[in-house]
Amino acid sequence: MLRLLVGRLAAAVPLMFAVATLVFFLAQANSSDPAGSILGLDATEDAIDAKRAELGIDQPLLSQYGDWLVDAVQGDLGTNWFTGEEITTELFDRIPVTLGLAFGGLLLAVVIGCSLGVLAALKAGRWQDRVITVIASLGIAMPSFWIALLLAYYFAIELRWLPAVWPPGGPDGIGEWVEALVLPSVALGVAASAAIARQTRSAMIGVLQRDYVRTALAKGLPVRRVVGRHAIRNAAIPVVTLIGFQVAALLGGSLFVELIFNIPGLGSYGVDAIFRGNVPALLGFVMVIAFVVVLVNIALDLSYAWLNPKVRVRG
Amino acid sequence: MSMSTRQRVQARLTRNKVAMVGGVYLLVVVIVALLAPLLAPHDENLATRFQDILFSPSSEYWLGTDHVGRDIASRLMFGARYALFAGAEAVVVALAIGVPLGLLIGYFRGWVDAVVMRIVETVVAVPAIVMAMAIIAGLGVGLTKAMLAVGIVYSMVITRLTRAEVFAAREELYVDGAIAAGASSIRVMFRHVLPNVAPALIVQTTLLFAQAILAEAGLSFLGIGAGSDQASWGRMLRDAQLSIDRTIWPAIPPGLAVFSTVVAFNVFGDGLRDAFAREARGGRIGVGDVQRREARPIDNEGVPVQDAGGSSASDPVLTVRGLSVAFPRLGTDDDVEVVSGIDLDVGRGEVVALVGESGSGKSITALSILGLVPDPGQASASSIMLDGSELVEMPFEQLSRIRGTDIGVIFQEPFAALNPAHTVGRQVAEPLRYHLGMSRAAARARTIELLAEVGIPDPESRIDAYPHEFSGGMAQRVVAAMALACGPKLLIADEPTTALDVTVQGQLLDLIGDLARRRSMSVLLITHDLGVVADLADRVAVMYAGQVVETGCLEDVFASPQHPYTEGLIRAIPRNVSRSGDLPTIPGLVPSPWEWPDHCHFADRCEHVTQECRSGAVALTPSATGMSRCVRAEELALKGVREEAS
Amino acid sequence: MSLLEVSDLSVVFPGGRGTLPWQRLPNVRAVQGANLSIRASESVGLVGESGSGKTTLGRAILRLLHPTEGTIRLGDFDVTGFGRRTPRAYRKAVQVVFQDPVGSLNPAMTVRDIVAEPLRLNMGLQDEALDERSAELMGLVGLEAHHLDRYPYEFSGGQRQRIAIARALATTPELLVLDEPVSALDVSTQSQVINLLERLQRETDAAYLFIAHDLAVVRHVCQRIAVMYHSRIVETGPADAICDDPAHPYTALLIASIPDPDPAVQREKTSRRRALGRGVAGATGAPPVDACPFAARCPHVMDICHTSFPTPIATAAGGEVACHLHTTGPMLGGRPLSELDPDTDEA
Repeated sequence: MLRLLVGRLAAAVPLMFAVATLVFFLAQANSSDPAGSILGLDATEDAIDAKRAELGIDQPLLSQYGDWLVDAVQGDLGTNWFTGEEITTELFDRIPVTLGLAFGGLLLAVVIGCSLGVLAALKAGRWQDRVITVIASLGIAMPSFWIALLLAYYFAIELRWLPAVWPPGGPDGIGEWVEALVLPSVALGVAASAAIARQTRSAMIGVLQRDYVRTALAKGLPVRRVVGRHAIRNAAIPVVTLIGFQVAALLGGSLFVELIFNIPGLGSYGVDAIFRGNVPALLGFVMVIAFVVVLVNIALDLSYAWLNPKVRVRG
Repeated sequence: MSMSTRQRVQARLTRNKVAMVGGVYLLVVVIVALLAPLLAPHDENLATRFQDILFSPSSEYWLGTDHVGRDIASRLMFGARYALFAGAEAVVVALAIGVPLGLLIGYFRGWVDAVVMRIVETVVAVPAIVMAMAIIAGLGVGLTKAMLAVGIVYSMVITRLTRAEVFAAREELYVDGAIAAGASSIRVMFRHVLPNVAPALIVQTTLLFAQAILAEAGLSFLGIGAGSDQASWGRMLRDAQLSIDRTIWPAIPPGLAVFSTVVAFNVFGDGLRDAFAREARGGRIGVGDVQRREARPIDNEGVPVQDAGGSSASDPVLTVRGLSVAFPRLGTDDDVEVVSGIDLDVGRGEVVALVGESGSGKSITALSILGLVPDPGQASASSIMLDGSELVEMPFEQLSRIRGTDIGVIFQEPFAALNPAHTVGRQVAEPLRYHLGMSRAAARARTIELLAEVGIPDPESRIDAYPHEFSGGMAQRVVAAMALACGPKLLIADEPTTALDVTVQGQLLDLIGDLARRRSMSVLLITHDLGVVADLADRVAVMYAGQVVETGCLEDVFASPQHPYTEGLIRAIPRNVSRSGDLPTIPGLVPSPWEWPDHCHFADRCEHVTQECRSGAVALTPSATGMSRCVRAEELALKGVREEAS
Repeated sequence: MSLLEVSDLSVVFPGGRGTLPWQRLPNVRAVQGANLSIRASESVGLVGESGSGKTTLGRAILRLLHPTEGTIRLGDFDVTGFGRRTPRAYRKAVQVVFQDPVGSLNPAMTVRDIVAEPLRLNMGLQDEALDERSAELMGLVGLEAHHLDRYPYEFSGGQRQRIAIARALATTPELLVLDEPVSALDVSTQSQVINLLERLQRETDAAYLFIAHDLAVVRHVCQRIAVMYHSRIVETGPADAICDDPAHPYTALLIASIPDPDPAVQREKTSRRRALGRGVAGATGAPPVDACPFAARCPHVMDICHTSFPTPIATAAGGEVACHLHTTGPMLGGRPLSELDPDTDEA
């Protein structure tokens, strides 16, 4: 297990390096001059040149890349061109909110998606299955920001049950924090629930046709035990793979949801960075998101080892 | 009637109502998009009257107006253009990059493959929307550029899919066959691999189109897609957000438009996927859920049951009477019988072999006894008695108890029969714990004894191993230990050695024989291999096309068969003897269940056939050595194994 | 003069990647030092259990993989000396029929396209000549010309195998590699295809390399047999000699393991197979390099068997055997194993 962890971590290093390189050069392709946009229209040539030197963008691209990379490895993602703050610090302040949001959405998605999926598989071909299948196909087609708009309108503006926007000055205490994240999490979790339900259903149906399920029944075990002991664990493998993808999708979705609910998380930071052409901030944002996704996938890889003994032995 | 793959897919797709509704809806969206300038009642970008802000639907404004007084219905129609254009752009870019790249690296592999796959992994490690934003940061904002970015991100998905499909297709024997036939790499790739990869790509393209429409809406909503003068659905949602504190209405039509179009693409894509699903793969009829279907007593095809299936068993452990199994025939509303009216006895301590070719119904017969016929199948019997208990119409819970304790089963594929996620010890101990209520420690001790009994060396340490750590023969011994756990009266062995190597087969047969003798256990052996029967069985029942055609003692049946099919089988086996002249054969093919005649099922292939054989159903009647389902059994002098050997 | 000459052939598959990026799994020696020759119009059986390397050897001859060491010659072709491209003339001379009649025919092509492919590619036939030859081939394998316009899914297993045989015979090859051509078929169909193969060999004079796990089937089709065990060819010889009086203990075990439908014969075989089999059955793990792979299961095993692989020597029956019993210990010197101890059978 430890070897597996080491192996996955070792494989993550070149991946993160590749992400950094790819995004760095992609983001540089735009030739607009950030110094001008920072200083405004009435800045002098000299002031702009000075700003360019201060930002380091008068250097050749490769040396900029080298400097950035060396700092990034040490955890320093540079200085925000517009706020003058450390990007690492800014991002760290915003990580908990987005992670809370994504975790809320994921929890919802896994609980609802897996239960509906298992139920549909056990009732394959009957009305329960049909209803769940229809709901799931509708669920994956709903844009998260549309759900967020609808939720915000009905539950916050009309019914006033929950806050429509992030409390000014930040939530006070864990209760308010959770309250502020309920609607955004639900908005995020709908599509993921539907996707997980579909995958769980097909994985379960596949597993229920396997010979070892027939063996378990032939051993005289009751259906509940056969499903619980023999089917679910094997059906979980493709579901776990999908959860990996869904974590990425949830983090992507957080961009929209944070915008609608005015949440100061990573997503709104990224959207802001791209609007302003704030290259270092955008880079930092992408790196943090990639880092989270990679970590989650390592955790999921470890769970494969638990689910599938073959992986364990090869490790 | 021969149909090409395309014709078959079309036929099946048109039968799928949901997919067709999706397809028709998409057609409507396309028509609206094309005719938007003609259909739209108002300008999509300018308010007709500036004071008409946030109007509700009316005869003038069918879907009301937005916060600056623009007609929502008109904007919606133009939005279809942007949605389809954006989706098409992203998909075309994705396919143009992904398919050639995937084909190339999938077919030739090597270092190019390694490099490209690292890039793909890198791109997919970042959420698609974030990656698209990074590319947009470089390309600049705007709908065309944004969808180009989305297309580039999706091309990675297409590359990966194409490569994986090519890898799989590359392993197909027909590709090896084409290479051996002299086809060049290019020909193999385009003539043999691509057509078989295409279905997956077509399905994925449909689904990606839906994703791209979502992405367009999302990016336009964020303000980095469609501009303010482009009435895209995402843009409309962005605008609707501005007036959300007053009304939600402007968000409803564009949201529903995105939603319904995406649903339509998805259901159409799912329909395509089902339509492409290849037939003739396995031909197994799927198990829907784990439910038991009640067996119901029926008449035995009007044929009187003369005797207990040719049984000479005075003390039967198992008696089966009038067992039939029917499956719904695919593509029709009819049920078709795959097993019709089986009678079978297994005496105490006796090994009875049920012999037949594939499609004879022998395995389904075994599953019926266990109450485990796969889902759409309907088993019925007038009686199945196991050691004095009637299994027909027994409640599921009670039958479960009998399955676990009184009947043990060994299936054909040991690795498929064992759950890969649990240790063998846990699987063998499971019935001990569940049925006998043993403690964990007692069950473990008993499991070690059982593993030792089936000849697994060093059972104390092997008990904690997983199935994949065993060889095929050893895994089958584990299955045997599991079957024996609760001391069954009857062991059902369904092709127990067919998946094993021939030198391993012998050891397994010895094991089953020894266990049967030592435990005075009855065995119902199901096999196609007459040699295996000769090795193990005391009595034989030969099955052909859903019926038992002959039963009797092993020696008698093989030395002087009383049914032409039995004779044909015995003579057709290539044995280890030198031979001159052709190997005797049974002409023709085993008929499919829906082709079974009302008269003798074997008549069309029988060299002794007469008018009488085709005049009505033939009953299983006593013969010189047992029972035979042949009207001419007495007059024919059929050859057995001895004549053949000499 | 032999048509096919395989000398000292080894095939090693590189091990895959491990869990750690720098980890490599051990290489797999699928075939080691194989020697095999086939004369023109001769049919030779290659018999072995799963994992013995018999299919790999066949694929090397078909140029579906590149051997690691050794040479393959076919007539004037230096097969192992070919570059990246395989000459058309070689493709024309060597054809194949695979085991799985479902997987070996492209589901997206009609039977006509399948049968015509080698004719088009290697014989340059077109239009009417192509149709005529395709119809002729269908007749040859017992199918009809109107079957050409159907798709593979419309045929039964035995019929598909006939189509595969028709395609293989299209170029009138000198050598036909048959990789388990009947083992996926039912008994009644199997005997039909065996008869067809025998008849076709008489009619076309093609040499057969008949790869199978069932020694009894091979005996019916082949004049000579080579027995493979765990990457090595352990014995070769005339079919009748191999099947009636083998010189290698593994061959003896294999023969005793084929079940016979005559209960009396089978009782005798059962006791013989119990005496011949020792230890845990099934070749597992990597084949040894410097040892006899059968040593772990051999009832006659000696110390030397664990330390060196025996050099093959000629047998009295006119074949070769690779077993230390022939050169050390009892010094059988190529005589059948039955001379070792007539009572072994009952031991």
